[in-house]
Amino acid sequence: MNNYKLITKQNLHSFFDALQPKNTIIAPKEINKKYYFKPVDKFEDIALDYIQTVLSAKSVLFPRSDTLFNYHRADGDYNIDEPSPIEKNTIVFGMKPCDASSFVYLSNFFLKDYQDKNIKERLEKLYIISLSCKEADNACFCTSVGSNPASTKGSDLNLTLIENDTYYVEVVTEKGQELINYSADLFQDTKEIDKSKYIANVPQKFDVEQAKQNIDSIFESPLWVKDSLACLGCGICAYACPTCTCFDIQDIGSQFNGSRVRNWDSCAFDLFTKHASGHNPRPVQSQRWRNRIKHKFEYSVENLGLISCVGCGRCIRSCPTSMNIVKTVQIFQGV
Amino acid sequence: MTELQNIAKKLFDDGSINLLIGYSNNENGGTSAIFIDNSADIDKLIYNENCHQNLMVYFQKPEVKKFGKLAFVVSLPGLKSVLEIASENQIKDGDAYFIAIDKDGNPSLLQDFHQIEDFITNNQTKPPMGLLKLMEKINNMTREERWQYWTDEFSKCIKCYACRSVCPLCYCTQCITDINIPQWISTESSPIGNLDWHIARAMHLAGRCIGCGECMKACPVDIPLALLTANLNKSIAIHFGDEPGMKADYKYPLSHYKLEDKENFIR
Amino acid sequence: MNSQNIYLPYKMRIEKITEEAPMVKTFKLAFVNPEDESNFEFKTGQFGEYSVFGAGESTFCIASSPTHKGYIECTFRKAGKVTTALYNCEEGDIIGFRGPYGNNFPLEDWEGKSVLFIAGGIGLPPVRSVIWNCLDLRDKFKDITILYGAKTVQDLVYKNELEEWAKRPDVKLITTVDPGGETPDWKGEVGFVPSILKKASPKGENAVAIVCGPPIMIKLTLPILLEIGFTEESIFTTLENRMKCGIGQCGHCAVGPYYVCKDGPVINYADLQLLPVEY
Ligand code: SF4
Ligand code: SF4
Ligand code: SF4
Repeated sequence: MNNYKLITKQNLHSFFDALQPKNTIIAPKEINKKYYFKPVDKFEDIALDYIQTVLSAKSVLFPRSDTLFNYHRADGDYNIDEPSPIEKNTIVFGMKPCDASSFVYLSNFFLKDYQDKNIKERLEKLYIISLSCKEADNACFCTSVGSNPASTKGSDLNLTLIENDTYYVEVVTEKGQELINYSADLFQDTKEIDKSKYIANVPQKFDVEQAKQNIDSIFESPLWVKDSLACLGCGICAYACPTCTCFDIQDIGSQFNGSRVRNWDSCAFDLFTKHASGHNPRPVQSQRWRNRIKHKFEYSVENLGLISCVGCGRCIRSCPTSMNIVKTVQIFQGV
Repeated sequence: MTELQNIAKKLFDDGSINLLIGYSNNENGGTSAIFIDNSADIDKLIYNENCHQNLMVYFQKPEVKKFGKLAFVVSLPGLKSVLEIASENQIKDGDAYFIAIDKDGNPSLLQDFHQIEDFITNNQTKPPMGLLKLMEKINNMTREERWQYWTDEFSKCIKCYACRSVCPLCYCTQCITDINIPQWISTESSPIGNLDWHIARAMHLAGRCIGCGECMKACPVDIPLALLTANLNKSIAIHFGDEPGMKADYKYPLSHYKLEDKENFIR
Repeated sequence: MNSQNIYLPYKMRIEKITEEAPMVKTFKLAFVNPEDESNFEFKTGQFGEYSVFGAGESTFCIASSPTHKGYIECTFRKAGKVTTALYNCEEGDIIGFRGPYGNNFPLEDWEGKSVLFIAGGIGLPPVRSVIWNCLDLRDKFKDITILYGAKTVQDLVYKNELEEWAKRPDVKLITTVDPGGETPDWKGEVGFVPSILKKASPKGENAVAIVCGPPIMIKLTLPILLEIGFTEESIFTTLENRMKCGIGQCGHCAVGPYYVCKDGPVINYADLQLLPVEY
């Protein structure tokens, strides 16, 4: 389904007010000149002209620490209960198209062989309103990984600012229509328009097919070491990334009461692969960096048919040592 | 060729070093670490006011160590971390070369810890204004307000532990957070789990932090971490009269007993 | 268990604890809920996540054979947080188990062939499951040879079963301990597994070999197996990467695009060589 509408900024405000009481709304918010996804209850709190948030919105689906179940000891036995992973319907308002497309990857990943209950229930209650990009910075590279600043992939509704205070709205899914129905008279029907002149210009930095091939064929190369000497294995890249899904499972609490939780983890950490015996299959950082790159462009393609990078540029912006995934891909393109 | 590049070239030419770690411009308009393993790349070496990463963190990185003899481009905080890790027996005089950048941006080659100590004494700078203001603001809070302030800050923490990875003094091969028998620091990111981590981190750096601010710059959620250690350092200086990163034979007050140490906390 | 939550463990009661060797115990586990037991099926070579509430989960194989119904067994060495907690459990305690996960040894393909088991130290548990499975279907296989080595006599696990196998006329058992690890009344061989294998040189034609043990043992054993006529396709092992979820999601066990927990842990030597050396 695809139908097209217009809404003024003022009406968007009213639309928000119509959605707000019945839903949890997560949106980008400015804190000290940086942007973070936060629950918001006032339209004014939403940043509509940001380039990118520091952390992705994946935590809506896959929180930093996610309770799998609680246990309580009673008479030598254990009682187990499962907290509901999500209460209200949740709308992410104003996420960028690259992020919206990351949810396509995430749902494929978590629901492929074994359906993850928490993720599945959250997905069912998740609505995505994406906002096409007016502006990009030089870390952005969505156009190099098969997307663009106005892509509707993964969105339920997509908004593009076409005039000073008018948004062009694409209703991408049934769920999007459901949202419109909250206050349909705020929208005005229109025809499909060409969005390209209203969006940011994001130059293509590499050819993804070529990159896949090059990265596929190179496992042993001194370039992996040379390119990753700066990396400290801090893991910010994975924690900021909308498509990094690795986790650890830990118990929190005592033998009497507690929870089993799933925490984010990262293949950048040296402990990630270390066996109890002390043997480490990826003992040095260059191997861990190689794993990250190969996973994004090669392994996940092999396993899911999708690359696991949406070109949001977060890892580039937030790396304390200026590691740059694009540069790495380009280096291997040059080989 | 700049003076900095000349010094670097000479080190390569006379075979003193196998790897030089300095700064270069990066593709995003900033600067980042560059690892130069032969003199052909020396023209990429730069130094300007945007070069702030404390490169001494790489001294402990196994893949960097493997190169052999190292040289570092360092400004004041980097040199302080050299002395601090020297006092902790992590580096010996002569283990590496240091191209020091003074407060006017001029490079000079420092050969030993004595020269580093003199350099530090002559090149003292004040912490940035913004930081001092924030510190003052926090110190003027009531105890409850201060608790609230830090609780709010820590609640943002995503426990990536980047603050640990980028710190030149966090070099333990096994960090306390990674020890699980017993589980000292709870693994989840939650109010209590985050507090666990921040108390441990701050206490393990109390009286050792040399104030480079790397933790704070790395933190993706902008927690002003360096203020915690700076304040702890202050208390230690008041009670024990010592400051880290000034002398290679610094006796870390929390692990060294001195006859004149106060005993007023024993009640 | 009707819930969809894949992380909910079965509750298992520890029926029996056997001290196998220093720091090594075997648990015999029975399902607390009878329906769980009747719904539970596994194949030899599969593994599970064993958990102590409050300590967490740990991965190891199911060491009993699927032909032995009504219980499962696991053997583990006290090493980390969870295995320490398990080690401190007593008979009657309740622990968690989820599984079975992973692929299995292709027993059907082995019918009519000889089977050679080679295990070192704590590598015997996964092999033991296959051994019993084969012994319970003894007619289907030709010669069955078991070569098991440990550092010292004390370190040999399943001592009772070793005796039982030694007595069976339809099994050839060779046990060995590293030089210096023998006791005065030790009757087995003395020497490292690879050299004992070379000495025994069982035939590789129309045979399969299952090799589990420390990486160094595996590394030195493989060339000898090829020498005595085994092919790369007829040599099997199980990989032991770190695992957390068991279902191909947490990322820990991934070796390139291959997930040990999902695509493995059982792999033949030919396929193993196609993987990046990250195991
Ligand atoms: S690439 Fe950067 S953000 Fe990622 S682990 Fe390395 S240093 Fe940290
Ligand atoms: S790898 Fe980097 S650019 Fe790609 S999706 Fe993840 S954070 Fe964004
Ligand atoms: S860098 Fe920031 S977010 Fe990461 S662990 Fe440290 S304080 Fe927390």
